[in-house]
Amino acid sequence: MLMFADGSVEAFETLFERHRGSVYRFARSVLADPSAAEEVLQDVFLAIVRSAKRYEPKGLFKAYLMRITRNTCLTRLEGERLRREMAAQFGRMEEPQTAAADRGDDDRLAAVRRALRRLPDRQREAVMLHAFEQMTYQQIADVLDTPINTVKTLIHRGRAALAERLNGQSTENDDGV
Amino acid sequence: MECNIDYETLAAYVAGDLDEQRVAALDAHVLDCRECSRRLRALERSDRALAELARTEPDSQTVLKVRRALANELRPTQRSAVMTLDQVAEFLQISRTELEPLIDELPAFDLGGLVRVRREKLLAWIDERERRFLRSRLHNDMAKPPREEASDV
Repeated sequence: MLMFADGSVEAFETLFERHRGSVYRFARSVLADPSAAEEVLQDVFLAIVRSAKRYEPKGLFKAYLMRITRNTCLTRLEGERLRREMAAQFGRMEEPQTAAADRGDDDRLAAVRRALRRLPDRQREAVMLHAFEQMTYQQIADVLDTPINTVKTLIHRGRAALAERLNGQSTENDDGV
Repeated sequence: MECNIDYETLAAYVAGDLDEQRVAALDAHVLDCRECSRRLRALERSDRALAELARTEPDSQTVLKVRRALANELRPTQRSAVMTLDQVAEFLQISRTELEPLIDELPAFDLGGLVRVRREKLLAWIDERERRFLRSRLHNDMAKPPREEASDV
């Protein structure tokens, strides 16, 4: 990242190659619409390009990248929520959230994505950073700006809720921790 | 007898995040508990599903689309010291055909039959043309007859 901040386009290419999967995976599992995940991928790397000169190496680049990814996804989710609220308020039919979603997935993976999306935001994020990116508890704590013990609890609860849901049992464990 | 060990405890157990005492107690318990065995298998299955999702990658079309958008953004930072004629035309915001009549005037050099222009020389050339343009405008203005004063009548 420092090489890119110094003007090396090749360094940016390397960053994009190395991390595009992480950004896309995260967005794809958070957002119901696959095209929204594509836009997040683009927005995140555009943000990296635009902020390169201001980049200060504090900790792992991946943590920095995933913080931007998470914030970009949260902004979109908030937009979606507002849009649904507006639609409901004005009496329009709510768009089916999963109509275009999970295109290209087989049923089983689509079910896992849906189960993931039903987790409280922070549980889902902690589980994904751990399972998808093999980040340590400390690195996840940096991304989520949360104490390490909370991260452990988030992951255990998230994994527990997923296992229960995927096994056809309902669980109400949505207190956000 | 109903087992009161929940999924969350078992998830912490599998992750190795419980203290030794609890681990030892659970090691002994899960061997004989059908409910815990079932839950552990469920955890394993959902972990395998997550591992599959972890292999998700954007498809080649998505990558291409994003690359194009990023290339546009990167272009201004891609400041090579030496430019091709196509790059010169792009830099001057004219077409390659419009550049052709200007090629002899450009501060270019020959690189084994290829024409190249140094960015700094091109900027100096633009400066010079700017000065010439200003001088000619000034000269034209001075050559014009003075405007007549507006009559009050």
